[in-house]
Amino acid sequence: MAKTLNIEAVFRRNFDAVFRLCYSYLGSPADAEDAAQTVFAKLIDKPRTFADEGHERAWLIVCASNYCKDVLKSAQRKRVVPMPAYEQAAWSSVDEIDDTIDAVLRLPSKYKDCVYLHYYEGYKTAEIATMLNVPASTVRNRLRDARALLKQALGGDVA
Amino acid sequence: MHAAYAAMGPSDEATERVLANLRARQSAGHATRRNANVLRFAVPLAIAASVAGIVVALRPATQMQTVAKSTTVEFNEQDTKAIEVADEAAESAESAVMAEEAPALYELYPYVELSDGKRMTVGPKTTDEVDASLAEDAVATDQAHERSVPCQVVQDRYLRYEGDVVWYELKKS
Repeated sequence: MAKTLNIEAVFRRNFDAVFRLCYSYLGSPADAEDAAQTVFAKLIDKPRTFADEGHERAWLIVCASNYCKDVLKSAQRKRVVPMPAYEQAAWSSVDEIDDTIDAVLRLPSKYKDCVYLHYYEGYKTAEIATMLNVPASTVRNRLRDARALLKQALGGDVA
Repeated sequence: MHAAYAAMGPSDEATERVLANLRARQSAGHATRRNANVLRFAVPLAIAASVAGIVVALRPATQMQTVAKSTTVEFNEQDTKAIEVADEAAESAESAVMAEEAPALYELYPYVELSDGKRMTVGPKTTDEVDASLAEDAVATDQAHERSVPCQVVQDRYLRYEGDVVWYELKKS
């Protein structure tokens, strides 16, 4: 009999990272919560074995990235919904972070996973290339282009 | 940049809410497999018990008969139906377990029919950069054309199964 998936352990290790990635794509905590839950539910419905925790996180992140891109393409997302006032209030006390978050959320979707994986998760370009199944040069180009866009939006160096 | 992402974290309420939902989902999945296992063993046991009852009932009759011949027990139509139900339940239970050890999707569903009716075969993994934003929904099927799974196809050249992260090349069938 196959070993039962310890979903709680996987969840505790990775939910934070998956949620942040989904938020960067979808721009709202509620949508990020739904998307992150869907990603972990896929793992429950079709359990799989991972080589190690790094492999596990990479799979979840890429699955979340693909799911969010599909959500963004769906017809339902074509409606423009303003951010609720209470969500805006949560960020308004930190103006500098607020501007950066806004700029990150406005990035084209093809840059978001590279930017998130490099700047927040700390993956190297070669590791990102393996996860996303693209050449390393593509990852470097996307990071370069994303930095240029962010610099233009923020009017300064991107740290 | 790091600080921006750090500020996007989930609330404690959201974390516990999602975890509760996932626990419930996993429990529901386990209950389905437990029920299938119960059917797998309980029904055959019930059949065996009914057969044993028939044999016990027959024994006094055979003992009364002077003709020495082996006693054969024939299942009636109700027992035959019960056996069929048990077999289906056992197969379902085995399928639930085997799903966790299933072969790769490209081995199970190696064909895809495109919107123009063209049929293509799933090939090896690709190292090309595939623009997922150009993907269109499609359906990958098995050889017998009896089962299918959702997938995405890009420009009649690449395929990705739903939930997977790997792109495969497509070849003409």
